Amino acid sequence: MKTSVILPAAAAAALLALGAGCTRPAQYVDPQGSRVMVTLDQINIQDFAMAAEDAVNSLLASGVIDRVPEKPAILVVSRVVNSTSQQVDTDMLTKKIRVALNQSGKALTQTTRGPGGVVEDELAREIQLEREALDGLRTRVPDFSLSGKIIETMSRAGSYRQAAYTFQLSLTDNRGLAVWEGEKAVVKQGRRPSVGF
Amino acid sequence: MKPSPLLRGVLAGAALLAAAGCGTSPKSMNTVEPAQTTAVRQPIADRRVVTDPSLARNVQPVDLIEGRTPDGLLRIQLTVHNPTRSRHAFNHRVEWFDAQGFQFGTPTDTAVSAVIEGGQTLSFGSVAPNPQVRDFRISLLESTRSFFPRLRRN
Repeated sequence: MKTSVILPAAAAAALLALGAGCTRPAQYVDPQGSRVMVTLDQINIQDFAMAAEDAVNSLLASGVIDRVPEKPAILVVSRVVNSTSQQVDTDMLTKKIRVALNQSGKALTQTTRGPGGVVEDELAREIQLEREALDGLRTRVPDFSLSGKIIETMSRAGSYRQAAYTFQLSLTDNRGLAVWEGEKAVVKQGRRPSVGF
Repeated sequence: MKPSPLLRGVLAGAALLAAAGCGTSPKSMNTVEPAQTTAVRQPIADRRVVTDPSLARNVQPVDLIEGRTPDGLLRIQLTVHNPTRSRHAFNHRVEWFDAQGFQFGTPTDTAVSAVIEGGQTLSFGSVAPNPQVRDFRISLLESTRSFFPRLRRN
């Protein structure tokens, strides 16, 4: 007899607790921590961060950046092709790598040169040309160009889904040789998004 | 006192669901490696602060080594072992500090998700972001996946 009273009460209390726990007000989270949102059909910020971390670790460990006649190396960012079904800004990947290389003191990025003549900083380009005209000096030819591709592969088994995002990067020297190449796959599985990973 | 038929039904249903969808039988990894390794490892003494005994049991640090990249940057590697028969999800993060103890933050400093199978030995490492870096701290955290919001698809 007692069980029939306790059971619904316990169930109600559990539901209440669950409801209270899941209704979360908006809050700030550490973007580099592990409590950010994980979705299957999107490249999340931590996916870019993990890919960039892997690339920078591999790049610095290889030592290729230091094999230049004049240090620090000069880097230009070429095209990173987005072969996914999403609209993503590839700077989410390349900027992290650029900042990390800049902070390492191993490489400086030239922002006045870009793929197809599209430069990142138009004003800096004008100033550079003006300085070159005044001083009669040519700016150093970049040592390396960073290019890459982001590929998406989706799989499904029933209601269970898998999203694989492959980040491919190449560092090409000014002889046209890929002196470093890196690939990082970020694979996520599940049915629904989650908070935290 | 016998449990009510409703309670028995709920329990049986839950057990069935667990067995069908969510249950994974424990599996443990076997490994083979050379008896005499040729690598010259430079193990370093570590200081551990354990606040999660469960994580410390499932993801046990085996050794911590350090070395240098060809450019002279500090590089480290932590090897962990899972002595249980269950896979375990956790996150790890490496933080770097300069000679004065100040943290050296970079945009690539991030928590990285990892899964260690039962019996598996796993190594992960990082390269110092700058030649001025002297110290580091590796944080290990149990998977933080806490709840599953229903997001509207665009």
